[in-house]
Amino acid sequence: MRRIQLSFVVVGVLWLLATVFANPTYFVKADMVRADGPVLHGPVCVPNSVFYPGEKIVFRASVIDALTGAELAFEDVQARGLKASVKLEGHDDVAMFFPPAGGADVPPGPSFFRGPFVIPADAPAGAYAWHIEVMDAQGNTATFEPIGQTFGANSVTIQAQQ
Amino acid sequence: MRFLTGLLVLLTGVAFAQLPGTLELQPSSGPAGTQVTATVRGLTAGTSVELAWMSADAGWRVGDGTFDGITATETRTVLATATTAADGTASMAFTVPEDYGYVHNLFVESGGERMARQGFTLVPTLSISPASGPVGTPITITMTGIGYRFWESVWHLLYDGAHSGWMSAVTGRGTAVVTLPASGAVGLHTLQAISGTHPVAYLNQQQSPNYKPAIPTVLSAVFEVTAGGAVQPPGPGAQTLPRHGSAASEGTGPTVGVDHTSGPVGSPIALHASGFPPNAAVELRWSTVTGNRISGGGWDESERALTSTETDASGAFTLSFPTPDDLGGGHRISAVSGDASAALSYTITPSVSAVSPQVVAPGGDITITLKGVGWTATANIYTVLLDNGYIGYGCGFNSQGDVTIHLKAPGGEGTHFLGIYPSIYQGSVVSPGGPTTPDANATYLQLPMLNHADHPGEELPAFLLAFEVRSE
Repeated sequence: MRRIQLSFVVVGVLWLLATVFANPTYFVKADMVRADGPVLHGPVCVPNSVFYPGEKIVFRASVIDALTGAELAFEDVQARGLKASVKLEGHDDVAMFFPPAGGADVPPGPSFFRGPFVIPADAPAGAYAWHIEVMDAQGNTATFEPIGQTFGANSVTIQAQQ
Repeated sequence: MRFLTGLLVLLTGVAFAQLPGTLELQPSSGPAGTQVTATVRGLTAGTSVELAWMSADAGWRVGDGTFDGITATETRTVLATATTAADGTASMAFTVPEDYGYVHNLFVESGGERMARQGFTLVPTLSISPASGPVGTPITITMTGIGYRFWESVWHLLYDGAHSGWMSAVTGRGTAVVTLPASGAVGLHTLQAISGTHPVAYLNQQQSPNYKPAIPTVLSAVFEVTAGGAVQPPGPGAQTLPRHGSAASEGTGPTVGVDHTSGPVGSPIALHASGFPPNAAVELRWSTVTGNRISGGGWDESERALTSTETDASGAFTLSFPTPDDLGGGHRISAVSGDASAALSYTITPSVSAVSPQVVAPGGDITITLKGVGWTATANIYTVLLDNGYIGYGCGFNSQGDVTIHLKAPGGEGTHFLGIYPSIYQGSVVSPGGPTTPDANATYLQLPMLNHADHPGEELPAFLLAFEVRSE
């Protein structure tokens, strides 16, 4: 009995060590662009960080397999059951979707996760922190967080309506 | 429009997690010193609230000879307090603090909970003093509201058509103070500040991805050069940093002390020592760094004999010697007699000689010589402005702190000025909101730091020299 208990302890310790020192499964790179929305203050599909109430932001994220360095395609995302969402300060989560490359209304080139968000008309101005979380069906997770945004840098900056 | 916005919110499956109240700021933007009325609505009557201004404590990150960018930690300052009235509203007045520019979050908080929020844009300003004077008049240029985040931290100053350099305010909470000499012909001259975290100004900010309409794309002031004799800068010797006071080695046993622990090349050092073996030979040693960042060989710290003497019957001695002609920055002076030794640190600070010659024909040769230029990534170059236009830099590492610059004099007769400013040679520009590595499009390296009091790492002086161009 003691041997079994010891085995459990050893397995537990090994599992803990494996968890602590495990290599990440994924890396995420992301940005945000202005999209064609009810209000538009500049060109669309251009990386941007300053928006106005009523404008639509699209958060964009590519997921990279940490083992191979390969960027995941639509088929990989489907096979792994990968989900992604945007966590935007003061807002509900924004669910992201991953359309197949070459699909309807999808620009040419590699595809990636997209998270559209229309800024409410009454959103207060200011700097809002954000990050993106991904998780696959096995429970592997990864996070993208812009550097320095805890104090407003790289955040979503909402300007007062002009 | 509101209907359409609401519809799209529903379509995208996203809801706006409202705080219980709303906050209105009147006005919602302005420079430091602006009087603002903050009105919070929608709270429970009798709620005690605080109005918190969010900002950052920013600073440079430097390592052992390296430059590692800008770091910042968030700060929270309570600007006003109030208790909501029966209708759930409260009004609070505050003065915009002198702080970093651009967007600041304001939160109405009660018992540590956020009740409402709004953003205030602190708008940069530019002013000069005086507004007129003859050539050489020191023009003090004050800019407030410079940011600390990467894309908000660099404002370039232009004097007429010339790029003068970078006004930074990382350690100055957004305020930079720069002094330039009035230069050019009698008449009006335009100074303008344009932002852009690039080697040069970014001229169409209104079309950039992070444009904020409350932030002006260009700030300006006009200075009038009047007739009259040129105002000459102080002599080169008066422009060095003040020398630090006396110090002695630490620890038990033999000790050495000096009357100054810093000074420019050639400045006298009076050294005294005690506790050494009596009537014994003593060697005075000097440590330095040799090498460069280009050859691939790197650099080494080495030590050489400076001079020698003998102790008296009590084991004491005194020595006077000039500050060695060597790299700027820290050096170790050690006294060694057999197994007995003592050491202390000494810092060489930069100095400059007058332009040679002082009077030169149009297009003639002029020479500038700096001494005590350092070796770290923040001290190994000095940048040079000719008549307020940035012309290049000189490096002192490979020449043990000596920077000798040969130039041709301008063609225009009259008094001309050379401004010599510290800079940052290379390093990581990792900063809040910035890229992880510098590149040609996003950097503030090798630019004159006109607000030299903000220079990272070592305290370094700026210099201003004058010379006259005169036809034979």
